[in-house]
Amino acid sequence: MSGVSTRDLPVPALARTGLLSWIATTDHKRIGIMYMVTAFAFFFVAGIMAMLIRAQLAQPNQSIVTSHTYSQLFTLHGTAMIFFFVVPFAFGLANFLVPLQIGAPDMAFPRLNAFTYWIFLLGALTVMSGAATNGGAAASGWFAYVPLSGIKISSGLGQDFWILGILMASISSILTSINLITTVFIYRAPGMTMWRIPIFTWEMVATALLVLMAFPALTADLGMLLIDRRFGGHFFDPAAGGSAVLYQHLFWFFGHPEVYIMILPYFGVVTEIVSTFSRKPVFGYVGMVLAAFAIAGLSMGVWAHHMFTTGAVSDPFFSAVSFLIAVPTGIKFFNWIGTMWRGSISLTTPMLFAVGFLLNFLNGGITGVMVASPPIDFHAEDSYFLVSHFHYVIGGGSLFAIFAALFFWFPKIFGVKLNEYWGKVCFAFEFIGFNLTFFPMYFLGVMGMPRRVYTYPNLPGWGSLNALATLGAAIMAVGVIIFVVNVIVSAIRRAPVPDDPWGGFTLEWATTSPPPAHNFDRLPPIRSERPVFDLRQSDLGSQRKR
Amino acid sequence: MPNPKSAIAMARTFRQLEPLGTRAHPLVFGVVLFLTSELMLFAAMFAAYYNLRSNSSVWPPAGVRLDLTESTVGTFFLALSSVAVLFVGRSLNRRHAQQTRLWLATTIALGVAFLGIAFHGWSKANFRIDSNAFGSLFYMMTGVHAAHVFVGLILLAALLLGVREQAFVGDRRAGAEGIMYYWHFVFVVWVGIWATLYLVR
Repeated sequence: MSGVSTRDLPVPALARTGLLSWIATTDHKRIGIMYMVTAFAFFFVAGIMAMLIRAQLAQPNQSIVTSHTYSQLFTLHGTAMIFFFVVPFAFGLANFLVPLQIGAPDMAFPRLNAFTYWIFLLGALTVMSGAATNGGAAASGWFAYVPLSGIKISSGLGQDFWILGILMASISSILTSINLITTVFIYRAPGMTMWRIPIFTWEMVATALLVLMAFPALTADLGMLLIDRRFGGHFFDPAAGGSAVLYQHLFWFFGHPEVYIMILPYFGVVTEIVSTFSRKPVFGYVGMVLAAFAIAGLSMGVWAHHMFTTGAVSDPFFSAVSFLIAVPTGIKFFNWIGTMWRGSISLTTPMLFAVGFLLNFLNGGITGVMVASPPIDFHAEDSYFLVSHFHYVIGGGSLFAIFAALFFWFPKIFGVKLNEYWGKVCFAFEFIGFNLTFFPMYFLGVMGMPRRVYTYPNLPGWGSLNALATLGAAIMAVGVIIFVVNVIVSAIRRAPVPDDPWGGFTLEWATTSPPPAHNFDRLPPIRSERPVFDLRQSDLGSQRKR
Repeated sequence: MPNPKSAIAMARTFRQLEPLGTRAHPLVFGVVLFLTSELMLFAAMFAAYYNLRSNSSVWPPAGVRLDLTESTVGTFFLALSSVAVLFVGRSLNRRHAQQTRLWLATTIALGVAFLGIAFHGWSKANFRIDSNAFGSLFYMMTGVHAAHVFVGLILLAALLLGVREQAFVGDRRAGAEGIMYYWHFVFVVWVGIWATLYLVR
C-alpha cells in the first residue's frame, strides 16, 4: 500500500477529553457531530409540535390548543424543521464527511467552522426563546409574510426574536458554505481530481453555492422587515411607496433555492448508499454531477411560482422554468435506477431508507410538477394538497435520507453499528406512518381544506381523513422512539465493528472507525472515484498471487 | 517535506505537493466566495430599489433633496482609495515596509474622508428612514455600505499595524490580498449605489 503518510500528527487542543474539549473543539468531526446532535434535538422539538398539531386536527371542532397557540406551533414547527434540522443536519454530515471523502485532515477554516456552529445554536435558541416573551413566539408562519409579520399584527417581541435568530442561522449557513467550497477546491488529497470527488461532496458543493447565492436575499429581506417593524421603515408599506409583494419576491428568491438546499445533500446521501448496496459504481457519475448543478442553476429562476396567485408575476415564465427542473431530477432518478440495475442489491436498513426516499420523493416531485402549473396551483395554493406535497419532498425525502445516512455512517462516526433488525422495524413504522399521514392530505387539499387553520367543520370525509393522518403521525412517532432506543441499546452493547462494515467505496471507509483526530494514518492511492474499492481489489489480487 | 505541526500544517503540505500556482491560497479563495455572497446581499437591495421605483409614479417622493455634488466628491475619494490600495499590493510585492505603510495610510485617510462625507450627507438630508419607502431604501443601502467601509477601515488599520517582515509572505500576505479584494469590492458596489441613488434616482 503506497500513498501519503500522515502519521504522528500532534493535534493542538485546549483539552482532549471532557466537556471543554467539545466546547473548544475545532475538529471538523466533532463539530459535525455537534451539528447533527443539535439538529436532531430540534427534530424532536419540532416533532412534538407536529404531534400537538395532529392531535388538535384529529377530529373536527376540537380545541385542544387555542388558535393563537396553533399558529405559534405551525410557525415554530416549520422554522425548526427547515432552519434547525434539515439544513444544519446536512451541514453537520458534510462537516464530518467532506474532509474525509476528499482525504483532507480538516476543513479549510477550522475556527470559522466552530463559530458557525455556535452562531447557529444561538440563532436557533433565540427563535425558540420567543415563546417565553409576552405574546408568545412568532406566529406568522415560516415565511413570515407581511403584513402578518408586521408590527400592527405581530406586535410582540417573538417575531423580532424570530427575525434575529434566522439572521444568525443564515450567517452560519453562508460561512459554512464558504468553508465547504474552499475545503473541496483547495484541500483535496493528491490524486483526488475534481472528477473523482464522491457524489455526496459534489452535491454539497452545489448546495453551498446555492446558499451563497440565495441566503443573502433572506438577510436583506429580514433586515428590511426589522427596519419596518422597529425603525418605522416603509419597505413593505404600500401607503408610503412600499410593496408587500416585494417581501414575497425577496423571500422566495431565497425560499425556493432553500428547497434544493434541503434536498441536494440528501441526493448525495442516497447516491452513495444506492451505489454501495448495489455493489456497483454510480451509473452516470458525470451526469449526476451536472444534473445537480442544473437543478441548482434552474432553482434560482423559479421563485415566483410561489406567487402565482398574487397576479403580479409572469405565470408562463415561472411555470415553464419550474417544469424544466423535472428534467435534471429525472436524470437523477434514471441514474439511481441505473445504479441498481442488475446490481447485487442487499436490502440493509440504509438501503431500505434510500429506496423509501426514492418512492416518497418521486411522489412529492410529481405533485410538485402539478402545482408548477398555474391552473392547478390556483386551486391547490395554501391547501392541504400543498402541505402534503412539500412534506413528501422534505419529510418523505430529506428525513428518510437522514435516517439512511444515520444508519449508514453511524459505524464510521461512533464506531458502533446500529441494530439492523430494529432498524428495519423503524423503517417499516416510518414508511407506513409517513404515507398514512400525508397521502390523505392530498385528498383533503382537493376537497378544499386550507392549511394553517386550527380547526375545521364536520364536512363529509374531512374527519376520517384527518383521523387517518393523526394515526399515521403516531405511527411515525413510534418509529422515531424505536430509533432512539436502537441508538441507546447499540451504544451500550458496543458490538465490535470493522472499519468498513458495508464494503464502502469512498475514502472515509479507508480510515478507522471512529477516525483519528488527523483523519488518516495512510491515504490509499486515489486512481478513481472509488479509491477504497480499488484498494480492496488490489489487496485481493496480491492475496491470490501468494 | 516540512515537519507538520498540526492537522492544518498537513493540509498545507498537501497543497505544496501540487504544482505551485495551481491552487489558490484558501484565505484568498474564501474571501472571493464571501464577496460573491456579499454581492448578492447588495443585489437584493438593488432589486428592492428598482422594484419599488417601478411601482411608484413619483420617484423619489416630492420634497426629497439629494446633493449630487457632495456625493460625487465622496465617490471620487473612495475611487482614489481603491487606486491607493493597488499600490499597497505593489509595495507588499516589493517587500518595502515603509512604502506599504505610506500607501496604507493614504488608503485609510481617503476611506475616512468618504465616511465623513457620508455622515455629513445623512446629517443634512431632509428625509429620514421612516419618511417613506425611498428614505428606508436610501438609509439601508448607504448604511449597509458605510458599515462595510467601516469594517474595511478596521481591517486596513490592522494591516497597517502588522506590517513587518512576515507580512510579505504566506498566510499574512494572503490576508492582505483578501483585505485588498474586499476594499475594491466596497468601491465597486458604491459606484452602483451612488449611480442608483443620485444619477438614476
